[in-house]
Amino acid sequence: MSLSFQDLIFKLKAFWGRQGCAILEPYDLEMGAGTFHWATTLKALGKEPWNAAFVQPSRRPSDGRYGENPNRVQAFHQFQVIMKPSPVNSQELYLESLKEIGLSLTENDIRFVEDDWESPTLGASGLGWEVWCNGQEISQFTYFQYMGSLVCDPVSVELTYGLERIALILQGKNSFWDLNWNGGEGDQKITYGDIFLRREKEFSAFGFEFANTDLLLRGFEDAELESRSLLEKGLVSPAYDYCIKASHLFNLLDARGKISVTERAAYIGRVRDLARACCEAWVNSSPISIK
Amino acid sequence: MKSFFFEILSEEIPARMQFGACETLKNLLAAALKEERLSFESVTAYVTPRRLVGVVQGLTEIQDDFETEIRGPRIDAPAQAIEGFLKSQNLPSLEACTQQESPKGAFWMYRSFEKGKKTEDLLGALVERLIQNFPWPKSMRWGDQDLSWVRPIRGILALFGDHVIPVTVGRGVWRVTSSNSTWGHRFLSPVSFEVQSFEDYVQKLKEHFVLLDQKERKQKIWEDALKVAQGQSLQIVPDEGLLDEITGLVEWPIPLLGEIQKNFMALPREVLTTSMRVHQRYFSLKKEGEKELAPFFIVVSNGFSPASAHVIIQNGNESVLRARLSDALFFWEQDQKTSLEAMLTKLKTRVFQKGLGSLYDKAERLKDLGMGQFGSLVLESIGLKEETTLKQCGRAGFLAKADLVSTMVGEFPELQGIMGSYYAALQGEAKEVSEAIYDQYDLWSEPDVLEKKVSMTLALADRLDTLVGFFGLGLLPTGSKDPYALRRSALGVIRLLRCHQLDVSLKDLMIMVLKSYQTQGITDFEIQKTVQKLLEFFEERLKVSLKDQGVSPDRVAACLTGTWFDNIPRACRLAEALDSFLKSKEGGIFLTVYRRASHILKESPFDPLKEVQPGVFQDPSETLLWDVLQKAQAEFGKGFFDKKDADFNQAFLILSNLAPALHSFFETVQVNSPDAMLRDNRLLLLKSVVDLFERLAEFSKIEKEGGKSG
Repeated sequence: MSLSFQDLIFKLKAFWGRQGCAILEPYDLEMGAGTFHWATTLKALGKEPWNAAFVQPSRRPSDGRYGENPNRVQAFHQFQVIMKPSPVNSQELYLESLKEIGLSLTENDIRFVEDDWESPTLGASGLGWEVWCNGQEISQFTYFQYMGSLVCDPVSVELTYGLERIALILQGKNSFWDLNWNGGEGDQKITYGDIFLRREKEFSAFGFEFANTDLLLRGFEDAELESRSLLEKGLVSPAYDYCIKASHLFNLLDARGKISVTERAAYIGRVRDLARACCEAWVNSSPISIK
Repeated sequence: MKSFFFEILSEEIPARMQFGACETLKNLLAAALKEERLSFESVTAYVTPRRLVGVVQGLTEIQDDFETEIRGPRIDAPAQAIEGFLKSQNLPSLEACTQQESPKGAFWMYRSFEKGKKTEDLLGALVERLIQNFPWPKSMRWGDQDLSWVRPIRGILALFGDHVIPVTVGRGVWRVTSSNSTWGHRFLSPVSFEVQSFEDYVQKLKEHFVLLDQKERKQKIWEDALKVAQGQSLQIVPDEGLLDEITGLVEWPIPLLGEIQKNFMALPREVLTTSMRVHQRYFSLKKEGEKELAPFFIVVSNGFSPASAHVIIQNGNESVLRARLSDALFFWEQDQKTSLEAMLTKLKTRVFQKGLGSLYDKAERLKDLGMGQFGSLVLESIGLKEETTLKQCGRAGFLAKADLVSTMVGEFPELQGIMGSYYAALQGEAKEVSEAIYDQYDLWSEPDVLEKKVSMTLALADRLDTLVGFFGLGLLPTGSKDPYALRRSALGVIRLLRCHQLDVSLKDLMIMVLKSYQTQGITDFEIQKTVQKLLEFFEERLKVSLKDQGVSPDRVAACLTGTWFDNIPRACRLAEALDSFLKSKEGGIFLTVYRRASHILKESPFDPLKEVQPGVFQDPSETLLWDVLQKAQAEFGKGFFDKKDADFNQAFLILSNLAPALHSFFETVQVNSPDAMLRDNRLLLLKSVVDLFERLAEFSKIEKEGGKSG
């Protein structure tokens, strides 16, 4: 019996828990990738060690295909590990985790293929690889060099597992929608499609056709304002929340095709500036005392 | 003498950097050994995805002694100066110095002598320096290290003979210290083992599924892949770049065959290859003698031998490709629902470059250039005057950039031009038009370049439009920075002009492009300045391009100052002719008399407005020179240079015929005669001769040693 989607998550959580990671829950905001979770962005900065792992549901409105593409969706799941400083045996730990979820290293062709990861909105970049399994990209392996336009010292390693793609390989399926989510059979079986297909269709239509762009534009301006004003009050964590919101609103505007190429660069620059301001404030200030 | 080798084991090195790193290591290692005065027989380097290895054969065991003479102050110099000298050389007294006589008096001389050290005591630090200063195109930090390397370093092996050379990098838990052991293949033999020598190392690596020598690996991939293809009676579509990249992705290559679902074979061949090559690093296959691809591919796995694994790997790769191609098929069908004209409208919101309007504006410029004056001038210069061709040039220009908004190009940017061409053909555009859209970015991979007039006109207009626009904005390349690839564009223009022998003024073409920007009211470039800057830029590019051909830059400079400075094909032919002339014996003699003549003219004041008076000649050598000069002038006068295919080799021959007369003129008469009338007349005669020479090329720009080869 191959691993169900939820068992895949349980196994990874258990494995990384044993490696000393704090197992966190997803952040309750819409975001494009686990890297936006404060437990990555903000905690990758500063000197103190940090080890954490969590699932992050991620939204990329432009990747929506109305549920018609077997492996392209506007919402998916990343399993994210962040370790600071990067352990000597980061690669070995990662490969160990693959064995843990039942991916044989001697029967699959695993490769580390160059990929210099970059997030222009976060002002973040790193060096590392895409990890391939039989030609399929299953993970992103990155040694952070910059975050929020600040130098990372010490360097963190970020491991991002594409859970849906890994599940396809483990379950021998060709489409996300056919993945077995709960491991049940017959009447008991719940598939990925049962859970998400309707959402995928509706959110694709929302992202490409119906999202009210005036509201989105206003929301972006408001989020930016709020983030700035919270920073002035020294409230870094909520300020960063509004930076995440601005970033997601930009992604929606982008999917709606309402942003020209030049404007695009300007919007990305505005989010990046917010991210930098939050990161700088995070590094330079201590938690405020609440009376 | 012993052999020395070291291996730097790291996490996976990007494939594209490996061959370069290997060359760099070889050069830096040889240079470092020389600097340390360590003699050796040979240096080689090897690279795999995880290892960078330097090997020195026949390395001396003792460093060469170092002897040097340092001259100090004069013996009668003030005590302070002498003391300073001793201090600088770290000497207690003058005892170690000797006195040395020279025409300027006696000096103190210190002969320092440094005994050579043991090689093994020097190698560790040498390798550490190599690691610290290695110029990776991009390197990174890890953990809390201040060291950087392409990816984290995990092990170092360093052996001189059978002796471990101590090398240490990094600190704390990341600290790596050298040993005589290394690791096998990451998956097939994840164990460490000791080695005794380089030969032993290579052998043991093989036993542990690592083929060290990149050339051998590359060869093996190709041969084994061929065998797999032959098993299906198929051929591999050759792809050297891909083969190199794959060599950098595997330590133990095993090629496997995969199948492509038949329904995807309806996709354009370029879409299939891009998916396979760029995204998956697969080789494409075809039947012998056919152009169409076969529904198979070859993936080179990183060494999996059990047959059960082969099936899993094949299935896995097939399903990845299937997913990619279904996306592509969706885009292909989607795009065909939209006409290129409809795509063009979308270009209105796509900025070409800030200050240069949208891509739609560019499309309109390319249309106007193609079917207007620009197109006529270009086509007429190759003797073509057809209304149809002109119209096609305009049409191709207009549609050229439409595919940039197609869904396929959005997903596969490398298919720009190619998709536009397919969509153009599908909507019934003329063959020449769709061909030109295909060729616009890379005309040179096409075999019948010379036949493609529409392609040529579009490629030329597109590049000049970009160059003129960016130069107009003042966005010139500086140093190593050329973000808009303007150098490549200029080189493309030069190649186009030369390949088609377009007998046309580059300046005229630029002005037409400038005007097309003006017509749109996009910008008000300073015409003079922009053209001037561009011509200077082209001069530099021309020098680079001819230098590759073996024509040195001074030849090009000498030819670009004359009448045809902006007629590139002519300037090039002239420079080539000048070069071969100057390399001949006659050229050498000619240059000597030319230099003598121009030297005299520079030194002696005279009235250049007067004319030569043959009646004043006294010596037969004057008359002779006058006669040959007139003959040469007559030859050039017969519209010699007006012809499109003017024979410049012949022209230099005519010049060189004047050399003997000029030579005997110098031998027999005194140019600067005390008689003012004689002198002026002789200077004027010389001036006429030099003027004639310089009608062809400015010989004063030829550098000194250039003419000596004759």
